[in-house]
Amino acid sequence: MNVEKRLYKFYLTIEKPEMKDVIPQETEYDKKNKKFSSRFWKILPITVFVVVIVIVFLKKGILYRSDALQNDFVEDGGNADEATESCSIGLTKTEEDATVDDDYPWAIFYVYVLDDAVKIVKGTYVDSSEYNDGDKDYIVYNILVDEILKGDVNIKNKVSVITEKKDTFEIDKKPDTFGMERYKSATIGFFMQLQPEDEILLLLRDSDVKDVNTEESFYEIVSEVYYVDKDSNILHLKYPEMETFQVCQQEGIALRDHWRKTYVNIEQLRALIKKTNQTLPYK
Amino acid sequence: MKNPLKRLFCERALSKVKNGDMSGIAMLYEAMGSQMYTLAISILGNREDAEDVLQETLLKIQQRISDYDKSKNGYSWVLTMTHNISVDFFRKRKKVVDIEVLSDTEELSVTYPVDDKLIVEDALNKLDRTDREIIVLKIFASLKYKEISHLTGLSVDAVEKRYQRSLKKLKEYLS
Repeated sequence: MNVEKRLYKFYLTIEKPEMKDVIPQETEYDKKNKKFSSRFWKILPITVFVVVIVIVFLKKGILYRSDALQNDFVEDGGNADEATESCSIGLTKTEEDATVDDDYPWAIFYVYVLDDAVKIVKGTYVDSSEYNDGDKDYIVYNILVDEILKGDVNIKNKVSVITEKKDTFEIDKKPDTFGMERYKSATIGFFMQLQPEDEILLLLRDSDVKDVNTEESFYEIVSEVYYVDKDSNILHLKYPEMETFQVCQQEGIALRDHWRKTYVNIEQLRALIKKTNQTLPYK
Repeated sequence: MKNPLKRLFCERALSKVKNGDMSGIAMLYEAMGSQMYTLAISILGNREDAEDVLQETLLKIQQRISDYDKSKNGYSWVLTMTHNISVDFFRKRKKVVDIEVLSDTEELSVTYPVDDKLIVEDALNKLDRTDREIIVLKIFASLKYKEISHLTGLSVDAVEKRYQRSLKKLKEYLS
């Protein structure tokens, strides 16, 4: 055994003290926090009650408005069912808009590419355009590739990723019909609120197209949903339950388990990939 | 021996503390308590003092968390703090020791089980305090020469030379 290993093993034998013996006692800061916390729980029921009342009133208002619209529509000679539909669509849209979290200024996306290796590409969102193939609407996102973080990616400066313009993602079965300069036959689900120059990370994954004909298997295989906070340069994991991604396993600990709970700086990711020269196991 | 996960956990823990979540301290201790403790032992030479240093360091981290810059290396920040507090402790204790006229060997005695551990411990105790610290930082804390240099105030070259020289000595002692 060489000396370094022997010393390392020696250091491992030194047991650190019990946590209770070294963790500092409650600080003034904690006390204040506790005070705040107990106050918070006291006012919570009242707040919930008020919010519920407000929601009930608002809902009533919306329904009233819907009825009024419907009546107006019927009075104008329209069909009552159509009127209900148009009202409910309006309402649904409002609800959807409300679920958009404005605190999240970054991109949320996942990418699936048909190829035989995993690649990670860092890019900058440029712009988007819309496309209709006569059947469905699509959005084309144009991304400038800044850097290839992992894998031999035969990719030009610009990548266009295409997604169906709807809320649920489907596999794009006609990837070659757009005539866009893009990375092979990418099947990509995108959901994003991108602004030009937003930094994003594309994880390009391999698989057999035969395996991804259903949404279920799509979710099984498409594993990464990341977003990048452009201010802090932090890469977040959005949907850990779909995540099967492991960059590195060291000392029996899956980094994936760590990422489940936390976030990773892009620089750290880059360093890890470089350091471990790791293949990315998916199966 | 490299452990990037420790660094990630450490930074995550510090972020928690910075955001007012004091469970981060426990997380930090889980992640790098061993490195902090071993570093303190290497400087102070005994477990009791090292334990005090550990406690004080964790307290200082809470108090000075506003100084922590998330973009900087948190792992190194924590070890630097451990180093500084250990050195302070060592200096203060040295004064007391001088008064009490205790020998260096008494100061450095660390009790471990016999056989190989004892041999390694004995070999380490033959190194001077700074060399012992460099060995811990390099081998156990997996710091780079540059980081050790920043932490100890020595030049990168000096750190590397001292490390190589110490390894050579240890090889001789342990052969």
